[in-house]
Amino acid sequence: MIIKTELCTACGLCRPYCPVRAMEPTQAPPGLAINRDACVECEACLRAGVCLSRALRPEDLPWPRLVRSLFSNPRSVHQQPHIPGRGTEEMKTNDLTGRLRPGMASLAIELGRPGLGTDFGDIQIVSEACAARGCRFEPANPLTGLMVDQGQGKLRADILKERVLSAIIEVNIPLQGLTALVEALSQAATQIRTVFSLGLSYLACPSTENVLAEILPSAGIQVRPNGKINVGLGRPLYDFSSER
Amino acid sequence: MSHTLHRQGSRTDLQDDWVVLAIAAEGINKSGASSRLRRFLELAVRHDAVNFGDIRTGCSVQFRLEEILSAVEDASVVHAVYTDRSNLASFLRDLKGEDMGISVVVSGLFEESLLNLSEAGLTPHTVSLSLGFWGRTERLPREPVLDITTMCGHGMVTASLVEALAEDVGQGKIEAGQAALKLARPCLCGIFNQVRAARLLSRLSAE
Repeated sequence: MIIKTELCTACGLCRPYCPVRAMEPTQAPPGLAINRDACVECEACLRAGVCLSRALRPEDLPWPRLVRSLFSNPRSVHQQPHIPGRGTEEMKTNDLTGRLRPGMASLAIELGRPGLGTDFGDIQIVSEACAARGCRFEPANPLTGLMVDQGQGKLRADILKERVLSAIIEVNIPLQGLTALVEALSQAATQIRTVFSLGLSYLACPSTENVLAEILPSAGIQVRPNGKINVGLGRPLYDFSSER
Repeated sequence: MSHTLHRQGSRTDLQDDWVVLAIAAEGINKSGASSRLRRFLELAVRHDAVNFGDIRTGCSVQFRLEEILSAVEDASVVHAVYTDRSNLASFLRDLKGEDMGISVVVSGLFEESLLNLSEAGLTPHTVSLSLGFWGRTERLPREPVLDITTMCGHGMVTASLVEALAEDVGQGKIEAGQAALKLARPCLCGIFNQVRAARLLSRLSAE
């Protein structure tokens, strides 16, 4: 995104719509300019429709800057999962896909959320921590597609300095490995300059819930009282009967 | 794409905050799913959803139902927001009754969600828990602001806009309800709860 300085009237109406506060005042001519390092190419400013002088202009983004838009603009569509946004269908279609199996947990570690943004360098710190604990990265996740070494959680070098509003590391792990992974994430959280939101998904069954009720409090994790439930209305329903 | 998870707020404040979404699965039932996803939205409106939408078009605060329906594709994820538990329960009953075969996910307080599901004859299949925010949490906006911004999981409702509108509400420049509608517009999926936001903005503006 750029601001055509000759058109900008410095009204400032677009500024509160920028999630990463990338718009900065300029002196000569008086107006606004976009801090290119901070801008995550989400186009929220443009969609707000508040610029009456049409000074906000999207650009053709070359690689690797394009990755900013792919992860930050909710309307961008990744090649791999064919759905807009940052992640995958994950638990939303687990009633059909059976992706998440009995005895397994899926963690969605969303770097930069809520609202701070992140660069891929910080994402790699966390993905390396996951890899060191033997996590399997979700193959359909767009971030996994940017890894050059899944065994070590390493991302392409050319994107490490690029910034995005958020990106989700999606890993699958047996319940028994959860405590060690949580410890690794706690450690990684001290090394990053941003935040991550942590979501944990599982196939609903008493045995899994009993294990989680033991593991999570002992790891010092507070579970929020609200969350998501897939209610199993998808058809054909995945048959877990031989695995439960 | 965990956009309806991690909504912040007290248990009391979340009593009127429910999101239901529908999605078809790639390679399983996505082909031809658009008609069923449109039906989901029609039912949601019939049961008085306060907001709804599809990222391809936007939310109901900005677009009419017909506009949103006309852009729904097989790959769409469609959403509806409820503030009233009985409306939600009747919506879920209809979804079960119509047996459309698309995946449905309910987000909200777990205890009440389970009651809603039970009333509709449904049971949880897969569950997502929110385990909070980690890392440099001191950089996050203050809690009352986060309670509002986290109602858009894609981060399109900014803390700056919340603060600016709360100030305008406090100065009497705009009604809280109108300010909440302004906040809802950037949330393309239509999962922002402007009814709850109006209440939170009023409280914030009084601080």
